[in-house]
Amino acid sequence: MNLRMGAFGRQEAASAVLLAMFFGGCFAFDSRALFENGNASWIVEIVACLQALLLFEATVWALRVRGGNDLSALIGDSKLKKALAAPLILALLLAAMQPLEGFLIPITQFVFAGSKQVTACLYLLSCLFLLTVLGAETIVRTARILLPVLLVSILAALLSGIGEYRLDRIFPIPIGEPKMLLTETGSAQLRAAPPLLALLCIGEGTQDRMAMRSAGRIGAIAGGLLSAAALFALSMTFPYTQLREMPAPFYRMLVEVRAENPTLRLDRAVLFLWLMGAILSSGYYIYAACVLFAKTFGVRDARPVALCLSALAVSLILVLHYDTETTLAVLKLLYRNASLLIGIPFPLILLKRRRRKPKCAV
Amino acid sequence: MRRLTLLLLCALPLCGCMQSKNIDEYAYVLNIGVERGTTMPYLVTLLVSAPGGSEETKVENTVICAEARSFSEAYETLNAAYPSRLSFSRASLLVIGEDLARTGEQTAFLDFAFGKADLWPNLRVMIAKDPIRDVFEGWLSDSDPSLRKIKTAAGDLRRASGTAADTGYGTYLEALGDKRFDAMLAYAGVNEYGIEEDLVGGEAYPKVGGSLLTESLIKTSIAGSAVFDGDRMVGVLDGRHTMETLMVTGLFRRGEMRFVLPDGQEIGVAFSRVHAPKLHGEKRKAEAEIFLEADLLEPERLSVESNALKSFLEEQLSAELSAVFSALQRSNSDAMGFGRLQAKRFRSAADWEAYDWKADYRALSVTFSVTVMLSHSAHNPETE
Repeated sequence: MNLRMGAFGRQEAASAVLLAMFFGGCFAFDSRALFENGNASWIVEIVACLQALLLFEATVWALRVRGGNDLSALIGDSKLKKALAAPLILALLLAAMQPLEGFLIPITQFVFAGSKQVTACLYLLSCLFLLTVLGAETIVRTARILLPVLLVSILAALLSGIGEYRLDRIFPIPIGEPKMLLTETGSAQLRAAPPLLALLCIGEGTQDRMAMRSAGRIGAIAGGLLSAAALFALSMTFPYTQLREMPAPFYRMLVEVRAENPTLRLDRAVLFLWLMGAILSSGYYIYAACVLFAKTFGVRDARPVALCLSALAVSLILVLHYDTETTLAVLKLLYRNASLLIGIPFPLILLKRRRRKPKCAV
Repeated sequence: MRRLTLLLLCALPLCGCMQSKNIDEYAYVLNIGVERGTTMPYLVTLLVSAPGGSEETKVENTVICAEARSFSEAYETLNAAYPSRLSFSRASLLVIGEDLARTGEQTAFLDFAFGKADLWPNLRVMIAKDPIRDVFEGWLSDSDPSLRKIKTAAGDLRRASGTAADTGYGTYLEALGDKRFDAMLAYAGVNEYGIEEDLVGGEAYPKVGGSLLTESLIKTSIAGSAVFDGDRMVGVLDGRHTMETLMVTGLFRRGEMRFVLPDGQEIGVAFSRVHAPKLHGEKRKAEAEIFLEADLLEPERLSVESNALKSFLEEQLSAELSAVFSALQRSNSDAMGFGRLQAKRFRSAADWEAYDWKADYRALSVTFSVTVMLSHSAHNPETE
């Protein structure tokens, strides 16, 4: 099989999970859903990360009990389980769209003012093609190299806004509505679960189940805390009523600083740095979806699948921009029911198939 | 096959070269102004900077204007009439005419404008007392062709003296849409046009934009603030009252005030913020605690005891803050931001959005308590 998996270590895998967790958390495409009920996104992010981590631990435990290094080992030959892999591939595809979609507006409106989405998407597509064809090792090792610079830029962005933070903006915190918090945590699964799901798909590359487990733990905890901190900072910078309508609020936070701030002229450089991180995250998801597809359905070469899924993700982003009414409605429906997309197939895949007892010879 | 694939991949980014435009084909809009038109609803005035001018400046600043029914109509008209293509990517100042702001009609215009133009969200917003063309022309000077000083003038004034508000477009929108506070925008005017009446009154020399007793290369001045009730401008605060309002909002850094002591002696005091003000309260009752450090401007001339002076300054400032609050309350403007306190009482966004804060604001009673820490060191403005 030509899966182009390669081999990588714990640090590389943890870096990829962390980046994916952060970019998924801060560049969600449905801002309205994220802030519809006030400023609880940062609480929801932490809860969703913990839920995703629990699911991940359960899967690693199942792998240990039944033997195997990645999710495909749990799917096996069962037709039902193969069918259940489809919603997981869809979840990974949707997760891959999120960070890229979040960057399209800053690129087309603030950097290359007046440029068309299709032009920007073609740039993204060429990068995605390259990344997904080169495979997991390239993606996660690049993530490891890029991580320190990205962390510095993210922390600089958070610190530069301190003068603009106002604690009163986080109110009202809707903690008095547990039903609402539960629904939002369900939606947040599309931001928190896919990084770990993708790691489970490419687990074979980590060479060791324990390395995969610790990479998942480190990446999810660090990424979850970082994205919750970023969302909290965002909540202190803008009121939730503005955040609902704001495309790419995390980038807006960077530019909406006072004139004397030294980072004012660095925003575009930082944007491109983040864009690299977002492309890597999307590449990571798409590659994981390819591997899951290839291993589940017996495709021997991951590259054609990688090209198809990359093109599909970018096309869907374009459709989302040009035909907002219907596509957005469908995507929002999927986004708001993300907990079902991941939460139903996953436990069923984890279930052990009962072996039929051999009939006794008469 | 591999080479062909690589070639195709390399060709993908070439689409950026299609319909490309050179950078010198653009003229950059630095300031945008909108006021009431005579034949059409809006008069849009732009201060445009384009390559050209003298050897020293290398740029030519021009004020252009057009009457229109919308921002896009004005943009199309002006773009057609101007030799270069207009770009808004460097616009840093939005000036709204007082006539328009008094009726709140600017909101519809701005909603539309910001949906279409590629404007930066950190654009500063200001109110102009006088015709915007005159205000823009008053700022033009050969010694500052890029208008660098004007871009940050309101912010510099707020930080150095507290006599002007400094509000970004994002904060202005927040004030319109979120009811936690009302907008307070810097106020500009052409000096020779006359004096504007302050909302509170009581100051001998009201430091308000357009009424400063100065004669300089720059004819337009910025001072004081225009305060709003929702999207409608309801009055003007002079420099001192702006300073006092900023003390409550937490945006005050430092500034000077003059006081007349009970014995008739006049003193100058430089105040600086010790830490952020504390606001407590409930539905119709609030308390604002303000902490300032006071530095006497001419300590050698003073014959009053420190404790007596401290009490005098605290009482005087508390009384003045109450007067400013009452004037704002009468105008239904929550420029001091007591709505922020109310938001903390709610546990649901829907309940907060349904809440009529302004109804309770009219009945709100506020106690101001000022703590002054007196410092007798000689004040030297050059060290700041």
